[in-house]
Amino acid sequence: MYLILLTSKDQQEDIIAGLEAGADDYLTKPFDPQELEVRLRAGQRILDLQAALLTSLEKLAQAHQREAEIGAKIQQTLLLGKPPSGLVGARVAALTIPSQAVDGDFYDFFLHNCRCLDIVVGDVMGKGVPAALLGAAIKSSPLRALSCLLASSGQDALPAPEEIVGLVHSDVTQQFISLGVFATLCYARLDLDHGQITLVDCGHTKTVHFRHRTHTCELLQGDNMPLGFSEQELYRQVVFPLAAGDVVVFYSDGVTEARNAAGEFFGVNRLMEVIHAQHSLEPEQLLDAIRRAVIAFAGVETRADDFTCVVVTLAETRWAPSLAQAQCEVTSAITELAPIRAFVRAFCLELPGCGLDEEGLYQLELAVTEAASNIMRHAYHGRTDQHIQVVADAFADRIVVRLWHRGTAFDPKTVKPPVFDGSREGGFGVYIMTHCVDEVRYLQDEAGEQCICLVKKRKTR
Amino acid sequence: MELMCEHIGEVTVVVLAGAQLDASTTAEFKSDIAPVLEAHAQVVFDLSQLAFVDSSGLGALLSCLRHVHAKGGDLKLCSILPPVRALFELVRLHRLFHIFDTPEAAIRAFQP
Repeated sequence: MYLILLTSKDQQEDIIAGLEAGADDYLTKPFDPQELEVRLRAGQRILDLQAALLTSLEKLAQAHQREAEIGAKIQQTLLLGKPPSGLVGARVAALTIPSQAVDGDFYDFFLHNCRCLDIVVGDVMGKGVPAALLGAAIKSSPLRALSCLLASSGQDALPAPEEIVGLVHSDVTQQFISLGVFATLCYARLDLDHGQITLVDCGHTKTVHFRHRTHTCELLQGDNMPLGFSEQELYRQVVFPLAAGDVVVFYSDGVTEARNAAGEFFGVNRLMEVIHAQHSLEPEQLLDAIRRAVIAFAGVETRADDFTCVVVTLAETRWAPSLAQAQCEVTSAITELAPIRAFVRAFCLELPGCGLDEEGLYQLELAVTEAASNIMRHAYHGRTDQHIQVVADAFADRIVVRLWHRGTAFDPKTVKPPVFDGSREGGFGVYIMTHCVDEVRYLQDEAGEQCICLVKKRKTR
Repeated sequence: MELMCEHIGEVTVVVLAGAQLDASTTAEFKSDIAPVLEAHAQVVFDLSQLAFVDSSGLGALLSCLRHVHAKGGDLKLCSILPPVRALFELVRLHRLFHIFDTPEAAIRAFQP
């Protein structure tokens, strides 16, 4: 609509009043029809322009929407790892709610064994498809670095988080600097057996740690710069103790920087209050409590940033001594296999609520047999006068059988994968062992004694 | 391990009557079963009493299968207990052996 006032009032204040009331143009009487015509044409031009502008805006909005959808798709498929379920003694849950304009939140998990998990959370600065793509690029970098270091170390020892981040840094920083972007990242290693969390903090939001012993929340942080700031940066890890009942929460700034109507941030203190109050919940429920608290504070509409949160809760009884222990010592004669199995079976069956069905029991017996015969045949090279000590421990959720010996150390990396076409009669032992229990570890103590450690989960009721 | 052989027509059914076939018993099993496999080409192993098999035991059974195949015969298995069956599946041996629920079914399978 285009409105021209045709008026006999020609005073300046009348004209101003008319235009302010919403008219687009004015003519004073008496008027010249020609003038009216050109003014109408001018009006038409403005209306056409306006319509064209609206169409462009609509197209632009559609393009933005598409971009947001593509970004969200990239994020869901490439940026978000799956929380592992195989951790014994801790549980992990993760949640991301993409904002309208997706930004580059990402996370990933590397489960080394059932007691050791690496968690990577990060955030690429920027929004939309470019951030999501950059996020995808950097998210794959830690895994690449980890594999690369594992392959080159040639030992069983895991590369340290600071080594991994150092390699990620040398992998991406130059490109990041040339693109003028950066990413914050937290690389954390949860080591339940040693009761510690090791993290490299590259300018990410401070990790919240609820300590069960003191019933307080603390912030874990290192002091490194985000990736892409400086090529000279040396990434250093920091180590914090972890104990039974503790909770660790990683999150993106979308959580703490959610604003309410008054423009206030949700902030880390409110986050810590929620975690403190709800620490005993299962991780999924704690996530939900955090999400609800943020929404209640900010309102759904005001969320301008991705909401990403990873919660790790440590079971409360984890570091209690084992519920039951038994041990037996046998010689390295192959005839001892049946007695070792009988010992393990009896130990399990005597537990109140064995927690292993017949199949589980068979699998544990099988793994113990394969481990013991490997020790007899390979570590002791067939000598029958050596010793094997078998120690069985029962925990609430797992049974651990350790076979100690003083033979040659076993390197699982030298074992060839089994051949299933019937052309070989052997070579199944290690494969069977690793598939029959939840974890196999090869350890060595300070005195040089070797150990094959088998962990089998019990069904908790 | 005690082996109990029964001849039904052309088919020889061997009940593996020991409870376990592991690294400590495979050598004995292999030497005991050798003459049976030498003498017969159509063989059924009844595993109903075999409660425990490990990788060496699997290797021994596989070696029997190859021996019989080399002679142009066949070895079928029957009555495998569920945990042992699971182990066969773990190392895909259920694809190499013909496995039946009962000795009768295994014997029938030999008939043309």
